[in-house]
This record gives sequence, C-alpha cells and structure tokens, in this order.
Amino acid sequence: MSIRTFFYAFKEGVINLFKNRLMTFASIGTISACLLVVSIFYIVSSNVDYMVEAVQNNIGIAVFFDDGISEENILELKAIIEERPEVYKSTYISAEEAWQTFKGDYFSGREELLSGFENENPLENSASLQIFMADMTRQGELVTYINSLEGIRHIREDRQITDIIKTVSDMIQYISIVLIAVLLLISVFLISNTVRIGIEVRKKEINIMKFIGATDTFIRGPFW
Amino acid sequence: MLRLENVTKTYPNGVIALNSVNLNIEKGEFVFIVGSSGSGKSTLIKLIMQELKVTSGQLYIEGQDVTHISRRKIPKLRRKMGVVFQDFRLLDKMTVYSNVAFAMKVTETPARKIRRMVPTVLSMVGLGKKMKRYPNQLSGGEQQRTALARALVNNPHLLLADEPTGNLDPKTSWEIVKLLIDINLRGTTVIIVTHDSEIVNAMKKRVVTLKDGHIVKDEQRGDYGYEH
Repeated sequence: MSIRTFFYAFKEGVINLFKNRLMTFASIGTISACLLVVSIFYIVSSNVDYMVEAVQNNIGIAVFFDDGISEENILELKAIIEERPEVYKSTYISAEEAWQTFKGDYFSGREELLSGFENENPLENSASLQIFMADMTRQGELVTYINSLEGIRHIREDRQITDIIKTVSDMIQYISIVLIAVLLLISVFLISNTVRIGIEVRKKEINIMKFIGATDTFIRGPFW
Repeated sequence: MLRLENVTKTYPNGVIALNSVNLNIEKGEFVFIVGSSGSGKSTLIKLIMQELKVTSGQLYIEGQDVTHISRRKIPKLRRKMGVVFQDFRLLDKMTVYSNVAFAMKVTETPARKIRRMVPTVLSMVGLGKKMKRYPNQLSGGEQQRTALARALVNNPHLLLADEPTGNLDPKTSWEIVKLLIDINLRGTTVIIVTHDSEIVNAMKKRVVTLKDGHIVKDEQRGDYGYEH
C-alpha cells in the first residue's frame, strides 16, 4: 500500500466516523464495554491474588525451644532455618518480648494485677521463632526438617488455615482465568462482528471499487 | 483489442452459457451485442471483466492472454476498461464530483491530477454545472452520465456498457448513445450490450447477435435481427 493510499484511507476513515455517527457510537460502545468488563475482572482477580499473598506471608509457623536453651543457640538455629529456600523471613521473639506483648494484650488498664509478678517472667521458656513462608505449599516439608533439628520443643502450625487459603486462592485464580478467557472470546467475536457489519454495509462500494480496478490490498486494508 | 478463441463457459450447475464462441474486436470499433435474456451476453461481459473465468478456450485483451490471469494482475487489467451498468451503480452518499474522483483515488492517482481531470471529464459529459449534486438529485440520464464520467476518467482503452439505456426513456437514451459515439471517435473501443432495437437499427454499426451461447450473426452495418 502506498503512502497516498494510507492517508486516503485514514482521511476517509475520520470523515466516515462522523458520517456514520450511530455506527461509530455502537462500535466504540461495544468494544469499550468489553474491554471494561475484562479489565475489571483482571483488577479484581489480581487484587484477590495480592491479598491472598499478603495473608500467606503473615501466616507462618511458630517454633518453641527446649528449656534452658541459650539465646546463642536459638540464633544459630534461626540462621540454619533461614537458609531454607521456602522461608521468607523469620523473627526471633525473646521471652522478655513475649512477656511484654502478653502484658500489653491482657493486662492493659489493669496494671495493678501485674504487681504479683514483680520482675519475674512467667513466660521464661517461651522464646520463639516466627517463620514466614515464601512458599506456603512447602510448609509440611519445612516442619519435618525443623523437627529433625536439635533443641526444638514444639512447632505450632496453622495447617488448616493455610490449606483453606490455598484452596480458595487456587479456585479464584481458575475462575478468573476462565472468565477472562470467555470475555476475551466475546470481545473478539463482537469486534469481528462489527467489522463484518462494516463490510456488509459497504458491499456496494466494494463492488464498485472492484470493477474500477482497486487492488485487493486497497479494498481490504481498512478492515484490518 | 479483444479476441475470443473457442471460448466456452459452463456454470457449476451445468448450464452452458457460451459455447465455442469466436469473436474478434479491433481497436477503435463500436460494437453492439444483442440477444435475448439467457443468450450469454452478460456472461460475455463478465468474462471480459474477469469476474468469471473461461472454462475452455482462449481470451486475449490487447494481445495479452488473460485466460488464466492471476488474481493479482486483474486490477491492472480492469483499469484499462471502463464499465457502465443499467443500474448506474453510483454511491448515493457521494456527490457527482466525489463519485468520479473515487474512481481515481481507488487507482491511486495523485490528488493534483484528480483535481484537474474530474471537472474536465464531467464537463465533457455535460455535467459541469452539477458536480456538487448527489445522485438522488439527478435524472436517470444524468446519473448514467455520471457513471460514464467515472468509467472514462481513468482513460480506458475499452468501454463496456451493459444495457446503458435500459432504465432510460428514448430521448435520454439517444443522448447517452451520442456520448458513447463521441467517446468512440476519440479512439476508445466501445462494446454495448443492449435490447434497444431502435438504437441498434438507426446506428448501422457492427452488430453481434448471440443465441443460446452461440454467435448466430455478426454483421458490420447490421441491425437488430433478433425476433422478440
């Protein structure tokens, strides 16, 4: 197609947009409606995805240690655990911190009740390691591994919650993939239909072009 | 200019529209093709226009064998021909000027040449003052003249007219025929398919009569021999 033909087609296109205002409006309307619905679904599904991921990162396992284990040992274990690829990050909560949090949660406003404890820490053996997963699906694997380490008393994991979240997020992902595919299909169908109507409307014009000696490219070009 | 050698056209449904037709039309000739409906006139036009393919035989246009011409080369061939139809086939949404200019835009002519040629051709067919009108504001004769201008604006070597006066009253028909003679005098070969016995008989030009896919008569200064 020559440059001249391109500009001719472009100019005719702009002029005809205004000549056939209703058709223009209908085409723009259907196409933008389709794109809008597709993009809304995309936004919704990617938001859900993001939320699920955020929840995943906040659910982890808590590892408690044997009585009398030293803080150095705990930090050593922490370093070993953090080397695992499925671990996103881990936080060490010392017994003192645990007690402070507990005090804040349960005794705020009733500080007089704490007087009996004085400077003793009833949670002396509650130093723990909070582990956040990078890959929730491999939680079972990690638990088995940590259990095999020395100095571990107890592991608390929220296996049920993580399983439910995993199922839900998978389901949402599948549903949104199917929906987006269907909507894309509908959009493609609507757009091609609009083009076909355009061809139908111009049948006479196309016929005239043909016997005048228009090349196939000249006739088909604008419909691409 | 145009040569058919043993041209046969069979439609997929088995109808033989043209049967071993031999026809030779020289450059600059003025030829009427007559015959009843179904005699093969329209098929002949369509074969020349490359709307249909020849089933067997050979078709030459300007010495070029176009029997098995490739689809890509057809537009170039059609630009050598102008066509007018009984139903004019003008675009209602365009003015007379645009309808004619359209033919030049389609063939990718520079805009400057379009602006020069269109008014010239339109005044030649007597529509110089009606360039801004739309087809539905024109009489049948004026519409056919617009179609004629469109056919001529690309300087065709061959003008095909398929029942050009079929929708027109006798007086307007004569005006169109006079225009066609003018065009012929300028050197363009003119082939007219028609039912109008009055015009054919008055003109004393070459007449080719078709019947059931055969040429039954081909006379120089002929008349409309076909019985109604």
